[in-house]
Order: sequence, then structure tokens, then C-alpha cells
Amino acid sequence: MGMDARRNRAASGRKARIPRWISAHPRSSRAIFAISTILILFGILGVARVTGSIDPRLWNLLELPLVEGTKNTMIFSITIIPLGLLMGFAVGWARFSRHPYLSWPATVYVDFVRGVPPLIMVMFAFFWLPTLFKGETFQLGLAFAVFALAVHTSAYQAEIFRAGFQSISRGQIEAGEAMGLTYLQIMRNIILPQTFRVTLPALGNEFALIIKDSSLLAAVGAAELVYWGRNSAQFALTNYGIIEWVMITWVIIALVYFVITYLVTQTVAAVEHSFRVPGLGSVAF
Amino acid sequence: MAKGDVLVVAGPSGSGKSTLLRCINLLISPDSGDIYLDGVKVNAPNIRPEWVRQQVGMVFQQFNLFAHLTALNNVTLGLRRALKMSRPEAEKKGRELLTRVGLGHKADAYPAELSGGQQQRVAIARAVAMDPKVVLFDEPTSALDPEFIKEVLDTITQLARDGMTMIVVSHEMSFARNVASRVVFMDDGVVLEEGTPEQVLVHPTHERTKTFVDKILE
Repeated sequence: MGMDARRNRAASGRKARIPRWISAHPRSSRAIFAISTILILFGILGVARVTGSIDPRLWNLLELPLVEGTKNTMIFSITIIPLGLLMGFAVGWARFSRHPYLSWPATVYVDFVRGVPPLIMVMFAFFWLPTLFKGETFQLGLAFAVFALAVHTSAYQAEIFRAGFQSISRGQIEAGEAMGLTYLQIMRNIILPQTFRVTLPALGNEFALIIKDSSLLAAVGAAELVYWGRNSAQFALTNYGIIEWVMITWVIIALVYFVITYLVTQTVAAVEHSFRVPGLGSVAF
Repeated sequence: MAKGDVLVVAGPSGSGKSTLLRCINLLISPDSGDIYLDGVKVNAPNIRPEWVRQQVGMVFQQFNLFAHLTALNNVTLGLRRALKMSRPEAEKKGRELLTRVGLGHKADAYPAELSGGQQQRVAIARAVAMDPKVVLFDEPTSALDPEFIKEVLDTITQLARDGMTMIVVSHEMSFARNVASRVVFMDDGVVLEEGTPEQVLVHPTHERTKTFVDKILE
């Protein structure tokens, strides 16, 4: 038996073990499975609350993380993601440019930002940048800290975009030139539509990372999920001394992160799917 | 060159054939010498290269179809963006051209779904769509599997019979003999020999041409 035949049999054998309800609709059924599991967990929590089978003290511990923490984490994420995307795109384009006055500073920016721990950037932005302005406030510092995370993710996204730009063959650009298109028309009609498709999976990955990196804002007192989680955990320990409640708090917070991240990555995957073109593939989620 | 002429350029690799084509549509600016299109000197500072390129079609060795566009949209992109034609008008013309290269039924296929020969025929339709004064072919069959060479050469031949002016860089000697009105042999950036296919390919005077033609025909 040849290697190929053996490999084929191994592959089909593996395939056969995947339940039909998953193999028929891989993406949607996985999504339904994950979302319904989460909903059931939160459902149990809700039922327990109504029937009073949860200690009201535990409920009080969870309330602020679940409500305030979730809200703020989402606000930070939906600020950082588009901001980082915009900056990452601009820097990636500059890095792709043949013009050294554009590509050189962009390269320095990427190298520098990638080399600095985001936590240090957040602290620096929060404590030092506001001193340059009059009437420094917590809000201003926080805005700078959020901006610092956008800078952090933009360096990685710039590299994603650069790779996307470079993945388009020189020949296609030449074909565009040869038919009399201007640089901007080539950008708009040939390079960008392909870059968009090729970079989506990597961008979705980066979005997932930055949602969880937004927890670094807790270090400067931003009231997001981890901040409230730490608060509640400490409260549970010092006032009730129940270590299980500490665990429960963190598990719930992890689940909230999971739900937010999963929603974003599935949205990206859906966009990717609807723009799919044969041969312009990227790795399927 | 006169209207309707078919000029075949042959020569060893590195002899400057592709560079010559790229100078004609100003993808490369010539170091010396001038290029005239319809009596207008085109390598002049007051001429927009885009304007020249809209009148000069080009077909590449590697097809260079736009990977994210269907065959039809590959053909109509230049019409709509460079010539500002309306979409229905451009698509009507695009479908006509695809039918002419025998691919009317593949209008909605993406490049990845087409064979090399089919891709190159779409690329020919794309180059012809702009109603160019001349079409440049840069080794249009060199990257093709042998089984697809004929369909592409037939398409180019048909185009020549329809009166299209063209410059073809090619090593397909039978194609040159049947279709070319003139053949040019280049080596090291210089035209060594020029004349009818008979003169250059059958009775070459230059030693370098002789050895090349012999090698090709082997």
C-alpha cells in the first residue's frame, strides 16, 4: 500500500468519527453549541438567583463584575479595535511603500512598539502623558491608556496589512498599470479588495488578543472585568473567607471574556465567509 | 509598424525583448530612443503614461489576472475604471469578447477555477477590450502546459486575422512563420536581424540567429 493510500485512509477514518451534525454544518453548529452552553450556564445562574438558591452575598459579589465590568470591557474593546485598525492600516501601508521617508519611520514604529510590554505603555500613558496637559484627570489618563493599547495592537496589525499588501503579485499591479489605471485606482480596485480578504483571519486573531489585553487597563484602575473581579475576590476572602467564591468569580469573568471574544471572531469569520473567492483563500476558522 | 502588422520578436532570454515591450507602454522609461504611437511621441514629459497605456494592450507570460474578480470583471475593470464606461455597457462588451475567445460560458468563473489556457484567453480578452491601437504579447505561451498552447495561439492568430496590430515576443516558430508580417531577432538589447519570417527564420544571415533558430527547431 502506497503512502498516499494510507494517508487517505487515515484521513477518512478521522473524518468518520466527527458527528454528522458537526460535519454537515461545521461553523454554524459549533457556534450554536458554544453559545447555547454559555447561555445555559448563565441561565442556571439566573434561575438560582430567582429561586434564592444562590447565597445573596455571592450574587452581590458577581453583580458589579457582570454588569459594570462587562459594559466597560466592551466599551474599551470597541474603542481600541477600530482605532488600532485605522492606525495599523496606515502604518502597514507606509511600510509597504517604496518611499523610504514613509517606510523607514513605519518600520521603526513597528519595531519599537512590538518590543515594549503593553503594560508599561499603559502605565506610561496613564501617569505621564496627562502631566503634559492642564487639568489632568483620571479620565484623561484613561483615554491615553486606551490609546496606548490601540498603539500596541496597531503595530501587529501593521505587519498583518504589510503581509497582505505584499501577497498581491507584482504581476497583477503591472497588469493594472498596463491597462492605464492610476495608482489610486490600482489600490482601490486591485490591492485593497485582495488585502482585505487575505488579512481577515489574522485580523480576527489580533482582535481576540486585544480584547483580553484590555484587562491591562485594570492596572491603572479602569473599572473593567478584571478590576471588578479582583475587587470581588478580595472582598470574598477578607469578609467571608470562602475561597470557592473567589474561584466562581474568576470562572464567570473568564466566561464573559470568552463570549465577547467568540462573538467578535465569529463575526469576522462570517464576513470572511461572505466575501470568499475561490483561490484567494486563507485558512478557514 | 503599420496598422494590422504582426511583429514577432525572438531572441535568447535576457536579450531585452520584455524590456522592449515594457518601454512601449512606459512601464519602463527608455534610456535612449523615442517611441511613437500614431505619430505622437509618447515618452515625452507632457504625456500621461495612463493615456498611452489605455491605447496599448498587454498580455503577460504569467496571465496576471486579478484573482478576486470573475473572468467578466477582469475584462470590464479597465473599461469601467479607465474608460469610465457604464457597467451594463462594459458587461455587454465583456461578454462579447469572452465569447470571441471561446469563454462565454466562463464569464462568472474566478481565475483559480480556470485552466492556464483559459486564463490566458481571458487575459487576451481583457487586453483587447480597451480597443487598443496595438497589443503587446510577452511570451504568452511560455508558462502554459503544452496541451493549452494551441488554444492560446489559435486565439492570437484569429485576432491577427481580424486585423489587430500586435507585437508578440515568442519562441513559437511555426506561429511566427504563419502569422507574422515581420520577425525581429534580438540579442543583448540590440536588433540583430529583421525581415519577413522567411528571411529571418529560414535564411538567417547572422551567425547568432542561425544557431538560435537551429536550437529552437531541434
